[in-house]
Amino acid sequence: MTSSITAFFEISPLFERHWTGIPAVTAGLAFEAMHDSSTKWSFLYENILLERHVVAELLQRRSGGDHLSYLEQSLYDRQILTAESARNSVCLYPNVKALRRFFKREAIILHDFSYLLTPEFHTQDTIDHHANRILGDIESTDCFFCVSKATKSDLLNYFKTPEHSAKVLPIGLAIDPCVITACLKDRVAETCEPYVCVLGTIEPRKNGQIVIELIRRYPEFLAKQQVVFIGREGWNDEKRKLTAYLDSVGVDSNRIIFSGFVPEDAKIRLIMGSKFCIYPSFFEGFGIPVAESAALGKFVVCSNSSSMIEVAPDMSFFFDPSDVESLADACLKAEEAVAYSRLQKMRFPDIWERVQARSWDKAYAMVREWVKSGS
Amino acid sequence: MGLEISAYAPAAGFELTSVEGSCVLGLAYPRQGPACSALKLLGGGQFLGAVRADGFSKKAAARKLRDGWCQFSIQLDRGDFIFSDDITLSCLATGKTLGSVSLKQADPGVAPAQRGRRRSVKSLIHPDRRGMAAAEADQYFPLIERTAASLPDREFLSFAFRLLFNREPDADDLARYMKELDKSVSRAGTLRLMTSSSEFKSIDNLPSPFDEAFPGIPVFAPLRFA
Repeated sequence: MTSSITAFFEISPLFERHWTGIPAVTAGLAFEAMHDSSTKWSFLYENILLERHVVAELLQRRSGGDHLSYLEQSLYDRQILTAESARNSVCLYPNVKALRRFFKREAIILHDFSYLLTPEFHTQDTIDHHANRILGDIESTDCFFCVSKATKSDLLNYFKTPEHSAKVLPIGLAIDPCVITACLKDRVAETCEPYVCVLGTIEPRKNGQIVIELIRRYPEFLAKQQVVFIGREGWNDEKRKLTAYLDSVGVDSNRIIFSGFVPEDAKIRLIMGSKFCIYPSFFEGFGIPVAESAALGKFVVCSNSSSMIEVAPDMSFFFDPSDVESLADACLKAEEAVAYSRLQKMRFPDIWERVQARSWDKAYAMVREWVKSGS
Repeated sequence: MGLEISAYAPAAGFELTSVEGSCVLGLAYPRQGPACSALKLLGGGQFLGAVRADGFSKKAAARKLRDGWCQFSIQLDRGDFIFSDDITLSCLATGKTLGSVSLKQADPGVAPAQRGRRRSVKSLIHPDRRGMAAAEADQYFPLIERTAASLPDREFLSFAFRLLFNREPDADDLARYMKELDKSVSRAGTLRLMTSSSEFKSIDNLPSPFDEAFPGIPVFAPLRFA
């Protein structure tokens, strides 16, 4: 039976050209919403109503870069949500709220409070944008879907929100089975030169510097395997600083590769071909790359900060992101584990079972329950 | 019913074209739209893997099936037949059963041990453009013309250059080819001029219409069923 409640989902992150954390979470839930015939979902870009075929195309292409002209046309055609339509409806926001108290009930997906807790890793514009809005967003929200226990804990501790209003969303994964199959058939892990992946945008918070420092202290690490930094260039000119540091300490930079932004297929291929992955971030709201790597059967040398200890503890070797010796020790343990485990021999059904254990339907069930609950 | 939202389109047509040794070739194509179809391999109820039908087939092109871009290739090994002597092929988007391959038809091999030089990491980041050899560029022309049909001439040239040469046209290129178009040389004729240039002879591969490197959303020829 279709619910009588009209639910809106504000999906502006899907209009970004390259999807990373926030768009990926938004897409996972939007996909489930589009397939849920029991709930009357409509989709918004801020207050612009979106046609379902546009949402379908965004989800199919996994990029939003070409759709801005559509938004301009929608504004011109006055495809705007009215207060009357919103009054008896609910709305889920993926990050910051474009509108407050416009709907009968409002929920928000909270990713992290890094701009407050670790402002040194953000530009002043980002801090101003988020910090100036967050209190008003929280005060006007009825339900908080936090991407991790760590984010929920920060919400309760710093904003004193009632605990019953905050839930931890089980973040899902969307990995293409065709890419997994191709990598296994190509025997990527066995046929490629050995390497490890360092995952994350090249910016200060992601802490790529510690891996460079590891290589400087232990050059035998680079002799055993290449190091591939997978991620687009972020702010603060971090990549140039890392490469300048490499040159200054005489490290063979030919064995260190910066991939830049790579499409999803290439990212999965790189993870599946690696010996293990390294995620040295100082602070995360969740850490999707850790979940992806673990699902694909790769051990992760993972920072022990914030949410990262929750993501895949059974596949992680934790280290202190401010301590190079701690990283070195974790890498040694990962190498031993790779040598002795049978994970490299996994076939598709085993990997798919791990990927499906993190499907989006569990997170969506939580959202649907809120839509129908009336609270 | 609702909208079909998946990275892959529902398969409206399916054919097994050959089973030789461990390699299974066939065609799977949607009715319309820019996405390719994909197949799910099932054995004894187990999901064994998935493959895209995004390869090029000259026979499919001759039959005007998706301009030829609908071939799938499955490499089987003995492990695929552990759960059953038959592998079912179904549509990944809809789950509909399309066909099957039996152990009697195939001769699945054992994956050979890797010998010799290992591939480079950079080849994983930037794989060869997965389309076809540049020598067969004329196979692309109908697809290029249809995809770029609504573009003004200058944008058409940008599209063609990004596809054929992996770069934007410079001022000289624009001047040269705009002049050809102004002389009423057809777009197909202009494409032939580009592919007979000395620069094009240095190009090895072109991107498939499903690659990120394809500079637009492909518009395939509509299917016409008998």
